Amino acid sequence: MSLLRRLGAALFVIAVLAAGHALTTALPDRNQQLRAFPATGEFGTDVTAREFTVRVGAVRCAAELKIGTAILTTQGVWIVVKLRLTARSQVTSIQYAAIRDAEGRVYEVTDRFEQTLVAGGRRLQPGIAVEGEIALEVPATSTGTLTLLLASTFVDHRMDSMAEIPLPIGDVRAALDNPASTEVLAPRVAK
Amino acid sequence: MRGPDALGRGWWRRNRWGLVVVLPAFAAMLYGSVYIDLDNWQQREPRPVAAAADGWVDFGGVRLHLVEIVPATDLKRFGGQPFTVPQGVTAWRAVFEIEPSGAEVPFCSVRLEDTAGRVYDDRPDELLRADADRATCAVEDSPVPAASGRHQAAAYFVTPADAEPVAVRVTFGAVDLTRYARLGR
Repeated sequence: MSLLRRLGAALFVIAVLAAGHALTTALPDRNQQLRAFPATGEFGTDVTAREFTVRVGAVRCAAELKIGTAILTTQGVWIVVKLRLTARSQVTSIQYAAIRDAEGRVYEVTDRFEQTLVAGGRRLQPGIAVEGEIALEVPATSTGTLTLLLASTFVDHRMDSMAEIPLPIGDVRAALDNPASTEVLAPRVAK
Repeated sequence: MRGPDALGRGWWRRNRWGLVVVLPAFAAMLYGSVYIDLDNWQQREPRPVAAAADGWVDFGGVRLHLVEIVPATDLKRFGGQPFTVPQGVTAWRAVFEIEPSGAEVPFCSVRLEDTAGRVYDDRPDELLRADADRATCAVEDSPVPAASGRHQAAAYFVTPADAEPVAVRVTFGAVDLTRYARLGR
């Protein structure tokens, strides 16, 4: 084989490797490929994820929460969301709840008090709707659409569905003008 | 692609066995890459063990037989007061007989299946304030005294009011997670 031909073969191999490298770099990484499937829906309507259906019935902002006799203040604003959750065909529980702001920042549900409805504690039996409220903290500087995220997986949400529901909140700072504390409705079977 | 070799064979003839092997090799590679996920998926979809003609299911070293699945209308609180289930919900009691072949019956998990294929857990949160223990299949938890080498287990469930139970599923996790005994009504 002539030197030129050998050189051509070597260049061809290098070109193939370079193309392969460019391709793998350009493609989404594994976590991005396996990311959760968004189940997007509107406020006030049933949104169906793989294991559960959720409806957001109300949302309000508050400067303080009243949990039993304790008052919980925040450096930001409390977002209190009323949920109606129903398991579909198997028993499940909601183990992840968060709010994503317009810039993609994610604020997970607070663990400053027990929230069994979305912390895995409440087992949802199929077809039996359970309603209750959850509370999350966001910075008072949050602007744009806040989106509620719910999943039945705890940490690893890959290849599973995640409910995404935009919340109809205007200016979260308006809540700071009203210092009255608000209570959070405990989970109960919906009527 | 070069021309014929010293024996006069062209590229296709020289590489014919390699080409024959490509398809099975590709299939094996594909199977190997999904085998773990396939195995995990199968383990999460346990298979039922059905009853024999006499109505008994032989599973996990014990024999099981459904006695009844009935609405649990007589539930009590732990203090003895009547327990009321939430509106739109029906509570059920499933009772089955257990005939162990050995000295001890493995710990069991019991689920309820309805006509729509929905599956409910034993001892749900809706019954936390009711005096309705979780089924264990242990002889000491039998609601009736053991007799003739048999004892019973009782499990409690809630379903939507319009649901119709058709079977209970009994799993012995320490013995076999890939199958369950299906005790049909």
